[in-house]
Amino acid sequence: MSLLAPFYFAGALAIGLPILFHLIRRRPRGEVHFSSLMFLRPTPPRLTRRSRLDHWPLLLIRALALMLLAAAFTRPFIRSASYSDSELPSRRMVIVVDTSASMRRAGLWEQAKSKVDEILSDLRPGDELALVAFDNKPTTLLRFDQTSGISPSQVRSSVTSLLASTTPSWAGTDLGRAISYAADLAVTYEPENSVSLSENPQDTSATDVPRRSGSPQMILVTDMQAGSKIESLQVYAWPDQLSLDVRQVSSSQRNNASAQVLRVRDNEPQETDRVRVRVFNSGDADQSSYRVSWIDADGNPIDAMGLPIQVPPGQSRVVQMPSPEPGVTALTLQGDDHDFDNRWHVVSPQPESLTLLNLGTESADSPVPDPRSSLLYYLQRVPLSTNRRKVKTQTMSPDQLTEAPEPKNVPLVVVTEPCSANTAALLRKYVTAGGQLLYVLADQRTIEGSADSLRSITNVDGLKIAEAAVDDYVMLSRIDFRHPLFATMSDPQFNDFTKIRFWSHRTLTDYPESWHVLARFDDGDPALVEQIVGTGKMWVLAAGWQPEASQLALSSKFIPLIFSLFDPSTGTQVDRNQFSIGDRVPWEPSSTAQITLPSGEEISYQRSSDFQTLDWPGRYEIVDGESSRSIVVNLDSDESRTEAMGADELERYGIQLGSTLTTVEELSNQNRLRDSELESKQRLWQWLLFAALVMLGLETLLGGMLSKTRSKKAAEAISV
Amino acid sequence: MASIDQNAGGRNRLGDQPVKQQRASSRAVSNQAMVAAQVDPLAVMRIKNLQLRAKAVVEGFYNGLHRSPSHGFSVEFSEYRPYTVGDDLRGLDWKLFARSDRYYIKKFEDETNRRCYLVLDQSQSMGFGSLDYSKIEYARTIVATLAYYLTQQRDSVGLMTFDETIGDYISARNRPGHLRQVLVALSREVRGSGTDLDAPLQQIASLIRRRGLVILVSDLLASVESLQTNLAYLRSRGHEVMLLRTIDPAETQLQIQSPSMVVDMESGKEIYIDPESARSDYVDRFEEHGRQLQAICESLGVDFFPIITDQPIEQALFHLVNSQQRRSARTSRSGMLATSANRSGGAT
Repeated sequence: MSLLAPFYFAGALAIGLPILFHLIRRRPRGEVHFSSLMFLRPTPPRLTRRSRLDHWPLLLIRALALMLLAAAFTRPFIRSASYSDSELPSRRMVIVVDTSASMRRAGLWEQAKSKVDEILSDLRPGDELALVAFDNKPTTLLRFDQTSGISPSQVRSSVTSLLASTTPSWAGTDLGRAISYAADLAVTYEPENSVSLSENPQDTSATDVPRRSGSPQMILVTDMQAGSKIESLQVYAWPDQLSLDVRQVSSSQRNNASAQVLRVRDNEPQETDRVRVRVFNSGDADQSSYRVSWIDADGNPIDAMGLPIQVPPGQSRVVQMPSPEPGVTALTLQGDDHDFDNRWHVVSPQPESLTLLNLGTESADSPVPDPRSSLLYYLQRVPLSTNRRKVKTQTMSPDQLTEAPEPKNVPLVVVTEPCSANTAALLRKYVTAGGQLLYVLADQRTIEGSADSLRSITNVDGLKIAEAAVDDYVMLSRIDFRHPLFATMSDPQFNDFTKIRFWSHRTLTDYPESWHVLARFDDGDPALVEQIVGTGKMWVLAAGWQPEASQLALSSKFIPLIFSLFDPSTGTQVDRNQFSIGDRVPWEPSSTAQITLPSGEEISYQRSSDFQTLDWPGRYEIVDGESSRSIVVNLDSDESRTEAMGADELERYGIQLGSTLTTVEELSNQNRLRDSELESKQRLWQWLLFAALVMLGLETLLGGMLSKTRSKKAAEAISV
Repeated sequence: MASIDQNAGGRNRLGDQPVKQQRASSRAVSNQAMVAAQVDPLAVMRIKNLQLRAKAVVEGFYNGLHRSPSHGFSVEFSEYRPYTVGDDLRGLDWKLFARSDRYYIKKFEDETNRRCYLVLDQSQSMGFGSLDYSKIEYARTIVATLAYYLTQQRDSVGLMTFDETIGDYISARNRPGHLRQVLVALSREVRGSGTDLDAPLQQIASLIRRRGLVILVSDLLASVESLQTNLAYLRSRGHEVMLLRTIDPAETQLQIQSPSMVVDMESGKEIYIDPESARSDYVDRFEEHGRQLQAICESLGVDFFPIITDQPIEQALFHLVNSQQRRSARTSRSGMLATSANRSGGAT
């Protein structure tokens, strides 16, 4: 006989109570009549040497009732056999191991390997296993079909050797992508229908049994750092039958901080002697004092003292530091426990070279008598160059244009003269590829030519251009300040265009409704219209800006207008020399291209496959013939957020968490289920309970009889 | 008849001792006489007839007086003194002569015509007794003895019995056959239940119009607060009150031998008692209760005498006489002062 809940037998210890009560003899044999109890207090019953058991039969019945009750609660049953592990269903497990930069912290990778080994030690024949490593993208190291049909020990050695040759990378942690990838892997695999029970796959005498698969399981070995990206799980539908077991690794040293040099924005006043540095301290740190300093290529600090900085845990601080001197290669942080993210590589920014192309009659070959009467004169004086770009203004006759300009290098083309059909086609190609074209109807003498050019460029055959009749002057009105071109001038102190007078202008008619009129003259004619062509834009300005035509070039609005036309993104321009781990190489492969890695290794970059992504932090030198470029690659700043997040963060995305049971635990569970089934069929507890109730009934009867006898004797004594 | 003590100007026939010293010596003598006059209560209680029992006690009491070494035992102690030559023969008690064949002069005859009310507690607790007789039997004997004695003193005697209600009530009289009536009432079998002192004492106060002596014989196993209130009321009505607390020897020391279920004789409630552990607490509480009763009686001018049932019954008589003596001393003092005042006033 077995017991489903043997611990209930502890209730049988309660038998001691009736024995104790019977020994204490609450009711002595004799009765004594006394005159009054007003001076007496009841004496608590106690055991003495003279105590002896009273009323044996009643005691026995009570003890028996208690024992039967305790026995009923233990739910006894008669068991036939136990489960063996060969009867357990086979398991399908995907082990997902974190190999991101945060796993480079001391001891974490060893912990991760050890946790994987724990799982492997419990493999049994028939189990299916896959191994996925992830950082900012998941990689399958071992597929299910590779482990199918091999023994658990072989699987274990395969996985162990794979992990031995794997080390954490420098990339960030895209945990959401890894989880969804592994989940799909787990639920979409179709296994074989039978499995050998033998450890030795060569053993032909072993029995093949039909495969009974349990629910798939995913085991995630990671540090669960707060910087892991999990937002992509929002759009992932978690499979019902899959559970996720999180095996977290952690470091006993919690202090981690990082430093980062912030980019300078274009619209910020350029300070050449100071840079802004942000220092971040992880949320579980217990210290807040750090030191940052510039270092050279050998890792020696430029300033021995460095800059001390206080950052509370979970917060960041921005400080200003002297700009790096020539020879400085990185900013380093000291004072925390983990140094994988303590270096921020820097390189002197190299400005972009851009061109503003002017297609007009004012060229080096044919200068105008009075430059100040030309459009180019004023265009050349717009200070388009910044600390991030060098802009040169190139001018040529429209017909000298032989190929479509590259929008990347020539962000803006200004056409001030009619052009041929070929040039118009090239210009249309340029705009379609993402370029920006400004056609200025500056001269009434070129109206016809300009109309033809515009029709060719815009493919609007019905477009008409005529000279407007201006009585004295016109002004700009009905300006669309919501458009990015005029948005910077929308503020009330800047949006007064009434001081700009136009002595003459052209009239555009029969233009498509898709054209957006950005500004009109106060006579109702459109002044500036915009058309989207392909991925680029084209504007038509219906008047010139030279003094003979208007006061536009001499107004304070001209320069911001040209700025906006040249750089419609308005705002920050990306630092083209700073990259993050995982970015693609910003260079086209060529036969002469060479890339020098941070380790000093040189590789030839003739094909894209030679070098695809920037996987190590540090400085890269790209040389291609006479061109060269230095870039730096740094870690994803989220990898510095090393404080752990709870597994419940994953539950919020609908992930079903669960722990992986060992074979012993599964066997125990299965046996318990079987026992529970048996017990519920046999229901021996009901008979025991019935017997206990019978005993209690007898006890009540006997107790009542004894009580009546006592009362009768007491009454007789009093009456005497 | 003037008080002989008063006319003696503070001196009596015992010599030239001052009155106070004579009283002290007579008290000491009286105590010796009491000791010498002991009659074994067991022997007395074996007398089945109550009247005979009472008579035996009274006569034993008188014999005790006789056996006193001091002849002329006490002029102040009792209302009798042996006849001496020159005494007024009108004061001679002929009945006592007939009984004892001796001549005694009865004094304060006018003071002997008092009304005495004997109040007997007959509740269940009085039915307790560790000797051959219970407290109620002993108390009845005391009451009968007092009735007999007082009747002989030509005092009017009344009787009231109670438990939780009034039982018998016989008004105070002194006529032939009255004593018999009292003794018959005392001999009646009663089945008392609880004890309530409130009701009988209140009823006594309402029934007794004229001042007298109220002698309460009870074990007083009740709340002291209610007793205080009722005694104070009786005293305020001008009655003299004497309490004879009848206690069994087993009640003073909790004479229970072994752990037992102890049953209250009045309520029937039972509790488990281990006498070894309960005794000291019981004695403390019992004695405290006694002290409270004593204090209440002292504050109210009530004479309080605890009587253990294994002691001679004539103790009660001695207590009665002592009480009367003290009372008469107070009266004589006040009378002496009044007489001196009158003389002073008269002389002038």
